[in-house]
Amino acid sequence: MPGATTTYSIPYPAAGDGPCLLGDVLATAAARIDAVLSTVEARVTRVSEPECFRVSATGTTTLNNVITWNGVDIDPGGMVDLTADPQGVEVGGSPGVWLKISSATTPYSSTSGNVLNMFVDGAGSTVRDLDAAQNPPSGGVSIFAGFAEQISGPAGVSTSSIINAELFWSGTGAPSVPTVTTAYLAGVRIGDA
Amino acid sequence: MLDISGIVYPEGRDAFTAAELRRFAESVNTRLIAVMAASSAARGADCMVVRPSVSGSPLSNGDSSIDFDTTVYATNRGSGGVGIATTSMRPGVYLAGGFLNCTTTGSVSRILTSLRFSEERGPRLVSSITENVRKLNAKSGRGIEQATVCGLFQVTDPGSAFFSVEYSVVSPSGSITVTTASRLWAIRIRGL
Repeated sequence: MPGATTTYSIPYPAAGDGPCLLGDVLATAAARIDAVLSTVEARVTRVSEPECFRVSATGTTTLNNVITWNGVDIDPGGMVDLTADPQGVEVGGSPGVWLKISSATTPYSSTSGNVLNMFVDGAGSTVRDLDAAQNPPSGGVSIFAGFAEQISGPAGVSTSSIINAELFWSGTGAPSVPTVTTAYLAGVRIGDA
Repeated sequence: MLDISGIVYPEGRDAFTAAELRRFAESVNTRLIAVMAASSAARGADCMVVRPSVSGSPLSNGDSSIDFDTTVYATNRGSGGVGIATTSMRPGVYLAGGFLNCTTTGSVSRILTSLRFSEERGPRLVSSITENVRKLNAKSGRGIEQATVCGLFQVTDPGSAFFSVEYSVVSPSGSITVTTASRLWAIRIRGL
């Protein structure tokens, strides 16, 4: 009767096992070793090649709403689909902890009492990172936000698996021309959930 | 002999000779060597952290680059005194960032921090910039302030790629002094 290792159940012949049984034991052992190594290889690949993306925007966007992206800068895994959703990147197919970063430069300016804000979040998420520029100076302002969040996924199940960024204006005197000079949104999967 | 992804083993009631069992063991060994090599490569990410060697002179309105000419930590650093040149690094996707640590004198209203990445691709120079405005309270003699910025960049030609931090000061009557506690960093997170 063959034995087996404790952790990975790799079989080995026991004393008295016949030649016929030896063949089956070795075949099973080879299959088990291959399965274990394949799992390790997949994990190593995921560590060394983490999913990531960066999209960018120029031109106009809707103030007080999520930014619409029109350029794909970095997308080695092919996870960005701006045709399907130009306002966010679905990362639910790769659940885990994601680092999210966004920046926007706008020509908005104000002299009193107004704040230009940026959110980086998933739609419906209660976890947000906020940067604000109070009384943006003449000539425009850049704001920046970033944080890490656990995204559970999978794709299509939860709206919080979409990474996006928002710009909004609080106070009166919002500019009439909603322009973003340059903006980008990036995400890096940095670990398992 | 049969084969599962490089692991060979005797078939059926074939003679289980010492030579065939040795081939089985060696094939497992070869597969393990490949896994260990990949694991080592994943662990050894290129990473650099640099800082200014001395605190800068007081600076007021205008743009300026900062000399990050001292290595704090580096697995691999190229030449260049004002930032991180990736000459000796591998192509790939890099997460980079930096922050200014400074003291202010007089009335300083804002510091605009820029992280600039540039690379020559063929005949043209591409440049990506992330920016952050740090608004400061206009108080004379205010202490240390920091302004942080971070971004994701794709390095295709390490010989011409360069990271740096720049800033501008919006200052009616004050000035800032950038200290040696400022940092610029970059880490390679994956291949292209």
